[in-house]
Amino acid sequence: MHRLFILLPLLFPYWLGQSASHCAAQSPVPIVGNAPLTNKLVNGLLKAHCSDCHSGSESPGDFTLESLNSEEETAPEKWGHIFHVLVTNQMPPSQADSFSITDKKALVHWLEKQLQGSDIIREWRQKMLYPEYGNYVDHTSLFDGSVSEFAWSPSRLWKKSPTMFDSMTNRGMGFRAGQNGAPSSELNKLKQPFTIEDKAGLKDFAAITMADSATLSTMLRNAETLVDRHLAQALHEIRIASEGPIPEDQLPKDKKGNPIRPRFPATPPEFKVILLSSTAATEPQIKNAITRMFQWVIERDPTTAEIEKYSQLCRECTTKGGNAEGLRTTLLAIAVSPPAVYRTELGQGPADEHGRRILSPANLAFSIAYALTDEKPDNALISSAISGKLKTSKDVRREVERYWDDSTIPKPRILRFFHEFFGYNAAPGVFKDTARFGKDYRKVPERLVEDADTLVMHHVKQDKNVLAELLTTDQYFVSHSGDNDQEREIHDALQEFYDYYKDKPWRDFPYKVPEEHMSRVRTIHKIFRHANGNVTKRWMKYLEQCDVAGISHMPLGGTRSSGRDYIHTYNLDEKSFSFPVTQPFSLAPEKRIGILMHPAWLIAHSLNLDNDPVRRGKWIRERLLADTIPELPITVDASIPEDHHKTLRERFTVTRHEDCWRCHVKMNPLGMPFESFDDFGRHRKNEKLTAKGETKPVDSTGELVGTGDGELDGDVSNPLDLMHRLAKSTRVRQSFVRHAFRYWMGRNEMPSDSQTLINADRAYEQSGGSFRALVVSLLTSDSFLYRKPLPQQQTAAASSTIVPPLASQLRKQQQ
Amino acid sequence: MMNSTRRQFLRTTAFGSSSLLLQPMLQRFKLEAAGIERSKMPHRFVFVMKSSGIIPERLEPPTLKASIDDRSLMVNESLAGHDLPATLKPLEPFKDQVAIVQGLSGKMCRPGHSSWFGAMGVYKTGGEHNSGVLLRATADAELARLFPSPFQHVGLALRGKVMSKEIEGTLYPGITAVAPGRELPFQASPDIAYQQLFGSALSADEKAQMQYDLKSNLLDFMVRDIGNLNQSLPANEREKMGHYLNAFEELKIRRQRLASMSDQIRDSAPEYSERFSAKQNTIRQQAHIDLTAAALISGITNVVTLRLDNISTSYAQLGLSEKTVHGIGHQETCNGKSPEEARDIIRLHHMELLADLAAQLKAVPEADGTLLDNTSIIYLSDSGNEHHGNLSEWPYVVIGGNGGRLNIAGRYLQYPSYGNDGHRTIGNWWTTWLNAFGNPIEHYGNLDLTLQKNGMPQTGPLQQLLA
Repeated sequence: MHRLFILLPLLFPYWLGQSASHCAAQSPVPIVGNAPLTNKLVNGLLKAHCSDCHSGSESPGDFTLESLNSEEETAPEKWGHIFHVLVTNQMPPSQADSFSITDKKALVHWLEKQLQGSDIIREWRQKMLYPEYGNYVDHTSLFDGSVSEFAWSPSRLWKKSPTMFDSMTNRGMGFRAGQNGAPSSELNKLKQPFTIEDKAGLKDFAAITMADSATLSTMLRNAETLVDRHLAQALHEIRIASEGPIPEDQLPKDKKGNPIRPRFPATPPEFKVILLSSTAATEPQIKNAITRMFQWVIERDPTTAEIEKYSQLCRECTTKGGNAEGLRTTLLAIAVSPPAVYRTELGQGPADEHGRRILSPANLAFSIAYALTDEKPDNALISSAISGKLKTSKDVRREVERYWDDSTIPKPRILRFFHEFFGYNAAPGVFKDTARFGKDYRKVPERLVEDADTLVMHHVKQDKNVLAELLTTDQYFVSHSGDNDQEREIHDALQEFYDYYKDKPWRDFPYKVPEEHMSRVRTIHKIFRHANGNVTKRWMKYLEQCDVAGISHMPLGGTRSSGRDYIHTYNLDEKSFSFPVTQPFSLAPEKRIGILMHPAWLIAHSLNLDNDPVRRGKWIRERLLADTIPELPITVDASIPEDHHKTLRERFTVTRHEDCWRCHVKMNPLGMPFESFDDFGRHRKNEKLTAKGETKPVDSTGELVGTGDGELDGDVSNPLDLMHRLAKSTRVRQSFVRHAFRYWMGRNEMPSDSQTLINADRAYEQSGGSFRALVVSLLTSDSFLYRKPLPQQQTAAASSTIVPPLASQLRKQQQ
Repeated sequence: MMNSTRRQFLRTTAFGSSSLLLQPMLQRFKLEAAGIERSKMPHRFVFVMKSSGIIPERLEPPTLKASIDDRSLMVNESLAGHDLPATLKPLEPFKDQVAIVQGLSGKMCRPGHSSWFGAMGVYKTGGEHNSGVLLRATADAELARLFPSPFQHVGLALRGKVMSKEIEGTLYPGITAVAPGRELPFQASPDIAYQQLFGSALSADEKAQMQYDLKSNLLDFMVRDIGNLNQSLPANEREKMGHYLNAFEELKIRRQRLASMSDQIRDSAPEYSERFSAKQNTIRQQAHIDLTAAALISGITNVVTLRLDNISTSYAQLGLSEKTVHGIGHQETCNGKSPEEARDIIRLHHMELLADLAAQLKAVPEADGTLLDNTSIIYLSDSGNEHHGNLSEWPYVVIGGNGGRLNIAGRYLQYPSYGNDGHRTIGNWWTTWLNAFGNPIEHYGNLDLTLQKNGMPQTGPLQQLLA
C-alpha cells in the first residue's frame, strides 16, 4: 500500500479537529524551524498558508483541504497536486503571504517522501533533468551561502555531441580535411548519429541524451563507410594482383568516352601491411592498426586492456575470414564501441571525505577541451595529463586560461553559449513575408545573425561588463567582420579598385577581363584575383552608386557578397547609409540598445506576422530573472483575437482575464516595451493596423517585477529603460551565471552547487564583468572537477525498464 | 484537392507500388500452397498519427446526420447505403472495411497541441514543447508485442515533436513508447528507412555472407564487452549504457530472423530510387506509405506507426503555402482558403494516402482473403478533436478487416457524449483492441477522475465492438 494511504488517516484528524481560523496573513516566520516535520506540523502549515482560500465550497482551483480526506479515492492525487503547485511556485499566490523558505522546503521534502515512487514524483524528477526546469531550483539558497555541502557532479556518461561528430568528419578521420567546416569529401555519406533536439535554450545535458538502437544503426552504417573507404585502395591492389587490371571496356566512361579508372585514397600503412600480408598479422601490426583506428574515431590511444581485447577479436575474425575481413571487423567494433559514443566521467582514485572522486588527468584533458572546442585536447594538454601536471584545480586553471588566451585555437563553444542563451540565432527559422518587408527578405535573418555574432564576440574579446554591455550597448556592427584592420584593408582595396576602373570602359568588359587590367587589379588585393567581367561590372556599379551618393561603401566581395537591403531592419536606408569602416558604431542610441533590440533577437522572438510580446517577456522572465512560468494552461486557446482597428497591445487585453493574467502578468509587462519595434526589428513610433491606412501611436511602457531590488523594480517607460535596469540587477547577473553553469556542466544546478555559483558570480563581478573569469571559475570548480554517484532513486533519465527483461523478452519472442 | 497530375507525379517520383506487389503475391501464393491458414496469420497494424486534431463533425456521413444529431445517444449504423463524408471519398472502394468511431473522450490526457504519449498511452503527460514521461508502453507498442517480427515496431515520421522543424534522420516525436522510459525512434529520411528495412537482404554474394558471419562475431563481442563495462558503472549510468547494449542485442536477434526470410524481403523490397531523397512533404509521405506497405507485405514487421505530419508542416504542394498546419489550426486563412477548407484539403490528401496503402495491401492475397483483411489502419490525431484538443471527443477512422476480431468494419459508431450515460473513453477503446488481439488486460490506461467521481463506469473493453 502506498505510504500516503497509511499516513493520511493519521494526519487528517489533526486537520478536522482544529479551527481554520489561524490565518496565514501573519508572517513568513518559519513554523517548522529545524525540527523534523511531523503530521501535526504539516497540518499546521497547510492551515496557516492555504486554508484562507482553500476551505469551504467556493475554493479556487476546485480544491479544498477537506478533499484531502483519506477516504476520498482521489486524495493521493490531491496531495500530488499540492506538491506540484508548491514546487512549480504556483502557490501560494504572490499577493498572499508567502511561505518561509524553511517551511516550504520542509513541506516539499515531506511530500516528496510520502509520495515516493508515485508518478508525480517520478515525472517531477525527470523534468528537473531538463534545462527548461533549471529555474525551479531555489535561487536564493543557491546564492545566500546557506549551503555548506561541497560541490560535485554525478558520475556520468555523456553522449558525444552532434558538433563533435561534425568536427571529426571535418578533420577527416584519416582522410583529407573538409573545407569551411564541411565534412571531408571522403566522408560526405556519413550521417549524424548524435542528434539533439533542436529547440530554444540550452540543449546538451548529459542526463537526457542517450544512445539507443537508432544511434547504433547510424554508427554501424558510418563505421562501414569509413572502414571500407580506408581499406578500398589496398583491396583494389590485391584484386588487380590476382585478377589483373580491369579491362577497359568494363570501366565506366566519362563524357568524352574515356574510361574512368577507379581511384581510392591511400590505405593507411598500418592497415595495408595487414591486408597485403599472406600470413597472419603480427601482434605489433595489430596493435598499430588498433591504435590508428582509436586515434581517428575515439581520439585517444587505446589502453593496454583495450589493445588486448581488440587483438583477441582480430585474431578470432582473421581465423574465420582472413586478414582483410578480420581487420575490417575489428575496426568496425572500435568505431561502434562505447567510448566512440560516450564520454565517461566517473572520477578516479579513492573518494575524499565527501564521497567525491576527482576526474582522472585524461578525463580532465578531454573535459577542458570539450568545454571550449569540439576537438580532442591539443598536444600541450595531453602532455600535461601524461606528465602528471593536470591533477589540481590550479593545473586546470593554467590549461583553461591557456586555451582561452590562445587565439589560434578555435573555440566555437563560446559563441554557441550565447546562441543558446540569447537565442537570436533562431531568426532564420521564423518565416517572414517578403512583401511585408518591402525588400528581398532572403538571407536577411542570416546576415543579422552574423552581425549579432560579431557584436557578441566583440564584447567577449573586450571582456568588460560583458552581460551589461550586451544588454545596453548602443554600439552595433553592421556588415562587419569585427576586425577593423581587415575591414580597412578591404575597404581601401575596393576604393583603389574603383579609382583604377572608374575612367576605364568597364561597362563593356567581356567575361574575361583584358589581362592589362587584371594584372593591375590582382596586385591590389587577393579578392580581385578572379574578378571576371560580370563581377567587375557588378562591383563597379555599386561603387559608382556610392560615389555618386557621397557615401562610404560597405565591403562587398570577400566573405559578404550579398546586398545591403537587410540594413532596413536597423532603420538604415541603403541609399544613404555611409558604411563606417571602423566599428562598432553608435547606431541610434535613443532608440535601440543591446542585443535584445538587435533585429536578429527581435525576429527570433516574433511570430510570422507579428511581434510576440509573450515570448519576449517569457524570455526575460526565465533567462534574466531566473524565474519560472507555469506551462501553458492546457484548456486555453492561446490565440489573440483579430481586430483590424486595434494595436497588438490592445488585442492582448484578453489576457487580462483573471485565469490568464496569473501567468501573463509575468510576461506581458516585460515583452510589451518591445512594441517600439515591428516584427522585422524596425523601430517605429506608430503601429500599422491591419485596417488599411490606419495607425496608432506605439505604447512601449511596461513593468519590471522580480529583480528583488526596490530601486529597479517598477514601471518602465520604454525598452531602453527596461534594459538599463535589468543590466544593473544582481539577480540578472546571477541568472546569467546560472545559465553559464548549466551550459558548461551539462546539467541543472543542485543545491550543493551553491559554492560554485557564488564563486563564479564573485569572479565575474570582481573582475569587472569578465566572461573569461566567469568561465575559468566554473571550469576550475568542484562541480567541474569532482564526481560522485547519484543515489539510485534520483535517476530518471534512463528507463526503469532495463536490459535483461527486454533481452529475455526478445529471445522469448524469437522462440 | 489532389489533382491527377499531382497523383501521377507522386506515383512516378516516389516508387511505383505495382512492381512491388507482383513478387509478394507469388510469395503469398506459396504460403497458401504451404497450407498456412488465415487464422495463423499475424495481424498487422498501421497507426497513422496526424497533428492538429480531427474535427468530429467532418467525419459525419451527410445522410446519417439526422440519426446522429443527438449526441447523447449511442449510434451504431452500417455505412452501407450512405455516402462517406466528402473528404473520406478516397476510401469509398473500401467502404465495407472502413469504420468511423466517435464520441470517446480522453480527458485523462493532456489537452493542447499534443497529448504526446497520452494519445495512445491514456495518461496525462508533457508540456507545450516536451513530450513528458514515458509511463508505460503505448497501445501501438503493446499490440506490436503481440505480433513479434524482426522489426518489432517501425516508426516513420515526416517530422518530429509537435512543433519541431526537424525533418531528417532519427526523430523522437513523443508519441510511442515501447516500454516505460523507452521511446520508439522514428525515421524521417525515406532513403535511410529503405536501407534499414531492406538493406540486409539486398546483397548476398560470398563476401557479403562472410561479412554477415563476422558481424555476428562483432555483435557477440560488443554484447560481452558492454556487459563487462557495465560492471564498473554507477547504477544510473548502467541503465543508460543498458540502452546501448539493448540495441546490440536487438540487432543480433533481428539479424537471425531476417536471415531466415531474405528471399521474401528481396521479393518485396521496392526498387531503390533517387526519389527517396525527395524533400517535398507530400512525396515523402507517399514514400513512407510505400515503405509501410512493402514492410508489411514482406513480413519484416507487423506494426508501423506513421507520424504523418506535425503542426510546423506546410502543405505547399496542396496549394497551402502561406500557412503551416499551426496557422491553419489557429483559424488563419491560407491561400484564400478558410481554415475549414484548408483542413478539408489536408484531410482529403491524407485519405488519398491511406486509400493508396489500403489498395496495396488489398492487392496481396492472404489465405482466403487479402492482406487488408488482416490489417487495421488506425487514423487519429495526437490532439484529439481540435487543434488545441479539449479531448471531450477523440475521433478515429479505421480501415481494414481487423482480422474479423472486431465488429466495426463498415460501420459508423458514435458513443454518447461526455457526461451522458453510456459514454466511454479512449481507455475503453484501447482496452478493446488489446483484448481483441490477445492481451486480456482488464483496463488499459489511466481513469478520468471526473467521470469516476460521478460514478460513471469506465473500465474494460467496449463489449459491443468485440466479435
